[in-house]
Amino acid sequence: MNTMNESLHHTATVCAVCHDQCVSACPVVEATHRMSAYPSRLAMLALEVHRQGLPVDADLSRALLDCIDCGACLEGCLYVDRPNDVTPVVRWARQASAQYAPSGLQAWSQRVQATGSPYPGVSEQLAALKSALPSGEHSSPPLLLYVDAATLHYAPAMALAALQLLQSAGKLNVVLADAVYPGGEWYQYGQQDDFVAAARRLAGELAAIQPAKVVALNPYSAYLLREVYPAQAGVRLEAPVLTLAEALVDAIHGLPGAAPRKVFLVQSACESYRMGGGAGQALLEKAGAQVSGKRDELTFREMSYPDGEVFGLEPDPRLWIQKRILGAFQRSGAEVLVTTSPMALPALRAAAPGHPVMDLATYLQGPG
Amino acid sequence: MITPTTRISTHDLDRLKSIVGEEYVYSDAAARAIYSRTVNPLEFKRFQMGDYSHAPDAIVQPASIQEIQQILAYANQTGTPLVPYGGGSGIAEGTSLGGSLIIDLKRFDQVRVNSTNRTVTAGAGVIGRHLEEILNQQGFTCGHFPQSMNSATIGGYVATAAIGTFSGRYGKMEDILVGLEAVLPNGEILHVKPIPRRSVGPHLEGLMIGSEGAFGIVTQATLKIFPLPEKRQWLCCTFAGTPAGLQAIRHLIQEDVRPALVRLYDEAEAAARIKKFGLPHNHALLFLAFEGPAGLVAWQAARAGEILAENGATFQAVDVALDWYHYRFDTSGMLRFNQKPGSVGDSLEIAAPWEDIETLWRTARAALEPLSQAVHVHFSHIYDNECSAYVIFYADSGPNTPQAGSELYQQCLKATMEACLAAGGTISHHHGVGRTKSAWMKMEHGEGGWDLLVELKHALDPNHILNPGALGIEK
Repeated sequence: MNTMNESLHHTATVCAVCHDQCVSACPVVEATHRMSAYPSRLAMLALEVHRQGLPVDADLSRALLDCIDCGACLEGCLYVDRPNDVTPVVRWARQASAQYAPSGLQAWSQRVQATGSPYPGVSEQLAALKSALPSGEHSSPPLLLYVDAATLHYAPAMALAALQLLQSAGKLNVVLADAVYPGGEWYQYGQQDDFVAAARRLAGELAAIQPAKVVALNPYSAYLLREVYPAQAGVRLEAPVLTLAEALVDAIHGLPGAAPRKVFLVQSACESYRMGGGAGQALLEKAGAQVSGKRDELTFREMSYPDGEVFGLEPDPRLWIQKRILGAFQRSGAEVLVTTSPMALPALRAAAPGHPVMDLATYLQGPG
Repeated sequence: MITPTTRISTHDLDRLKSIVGEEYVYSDAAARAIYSRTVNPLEFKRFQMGDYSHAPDAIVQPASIQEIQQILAYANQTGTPLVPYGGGSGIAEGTSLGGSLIIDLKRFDQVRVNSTNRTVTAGAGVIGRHLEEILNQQGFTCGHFPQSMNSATIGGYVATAAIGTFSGRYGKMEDILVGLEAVLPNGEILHVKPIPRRSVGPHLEGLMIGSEGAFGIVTQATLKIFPLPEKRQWLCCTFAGTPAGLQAIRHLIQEDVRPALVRLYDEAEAAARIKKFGLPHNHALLFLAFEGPAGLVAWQAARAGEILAENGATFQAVDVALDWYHYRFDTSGMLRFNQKPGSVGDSLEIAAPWEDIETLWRTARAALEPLSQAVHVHFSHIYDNECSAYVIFYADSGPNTPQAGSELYQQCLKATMEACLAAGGTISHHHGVGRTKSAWMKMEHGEGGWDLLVELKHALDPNHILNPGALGIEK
């Protein structure tokens, strides 16, 4: 396995002897009361793996899987000026115990190997989306709208709305990729070889297309392609990778007439903490919306699997996250809850029954 | 290196699993490592050494009184030491006991607000921050804001006799607590009714406040709550020296001005803030916060201004106080120091009557300065009769090994404790004793007081199963 590099070792050393100011922000601790979710303890475990002070076994693997990578601990990190992100340290340690991964991940991997997607029905959704692409010859290099398997499964309407928004913004030469699974779960849960293979497969397809830029509809995929592929898989894409909000921020000049103006924005941790803050708020405000509240964690594992697939934690920390979001949304006075993350949509709708919950593209495009 | 397997037999683990459920018993190496430390510097050094001699043998997470009673029965039958554990925020090695069975109380997580009585009843495992969020949403506050509130639990607040930074208005744990429930070592339940003023013999809740899990297992507490303050007002000033600052805050409290928050920094600790905000060099720095009804706040702040001026204060802009408030949970400077294996830093909270406080400050500094790179002192809890002092040291052993850091810590601790006792002070104002300060408990209490404490422990816990060694009481 890889050795712990200097950066990871520094973060682990910092976190392992911390006073745990981030703990009250952790939804897993709140939901499950499991001490193994404490970031400081996860860092301890990783350092012990590094110095071979702890047996690598199924128990260690289970403890390491308690972190759901939501990024809430970054919000609570007492190192105010430079938050230490413990999640890469956890991922590093997960690689060490990958052979003890639970059966849920094995089944997940088998589905991806067999069909190219962990979810059913994705190829049909992709075909439908392709049929909506504008026809005709274009001289300019294409823009690749990267719609991943999670988006096709959970939010196909978001993909269509995004496509229409890009066309409205004059982006007519839009193409889609066939490699819809970017390997996020493999990265998260330490299946490094599979993750690198997924990165290379997608990079190979993009090399053939040679897009001018890539717009990744799911912010988590943008994070993978832009930040994680080069750093963790040694795969650097030629074209710049943007989130949808980043791609549209200079092209949106108004909201649909019927759109509610007061918005509560839910961004993902990978946007807010790991990719410079996210452009969602700037985009919404430029379009004329009033962002009256915002949450900046969320949306990897905790919100991603409405059916409890892969690795269920009991009690389910998603319930706590939903409760927190709903409370903040209601206190904000916003009329609509808008998320940049397609993966979070089902859970957010479950959290706020009776309240309008929309993805960013559908909100900007308007219903219908 | 931690031992791969627990010393508790499979038979006994099965018995514990039958009590709390299989998923709430942990005995694997990872779990035992996780519970082997709280946030004490010596525990950090042991981790850096790879020394897990203080790790527990197993952890259980009960969810009811009945489960605790069965665990106590098991412990009494087998002689297994049982250590209550909350958020893991303790800083006195209160839970560091090798071979113990940790009883983690985080599943005691219920909260009931009684707005008529202005109380909240919270399970021992509720994290302080979560309690405060629940109360704030209903327009209340508990007013208890220790620096550990993001991880400390209600049970820990009681068991360590905790205090918060705004204690001047809201009180200390013994003031805030109006009732509790605890399980005694023999399994009987102590229920102290939530009626704070009673003349029915000694107050039994006193057996649990500061008990550090040695006299009983606190399962819930009923605490006072207060309306969210209408107004908060800050005052900030400098003094030519720390003695002048001490005199000023004594006059404040003794003339019935009661700031919610007091922070008087001696010249050494004030230096960084003085530099950052361009204040006069080599001065002591004081800031105060008043909060509550607007009229009361206005009167207190105005009267405080008069008293401080009479005592030589030079008033400053409040930016420095607001800066502290913004970063009040940031202990990263101390943590960065402790990350270096050979370095060690800590804050020791001691207290003395007003007539001894300046002596305490001088002697503690004098004791630590030969051992440390820096010594900072601030005074942050004042009473009519006494004042607490936070003595913070940063010491570097030279050899960059955790062994050297650990030894240096012991020297610093010993020097401070002896200086404190010689100056008429108390060895702990609110962090508790744990195992770190246990060597000085007899001197703290005197022969009679110490013997009484030990006899109480023997009477309550004849098998010495509850946190043996905490408070310095060995079997």
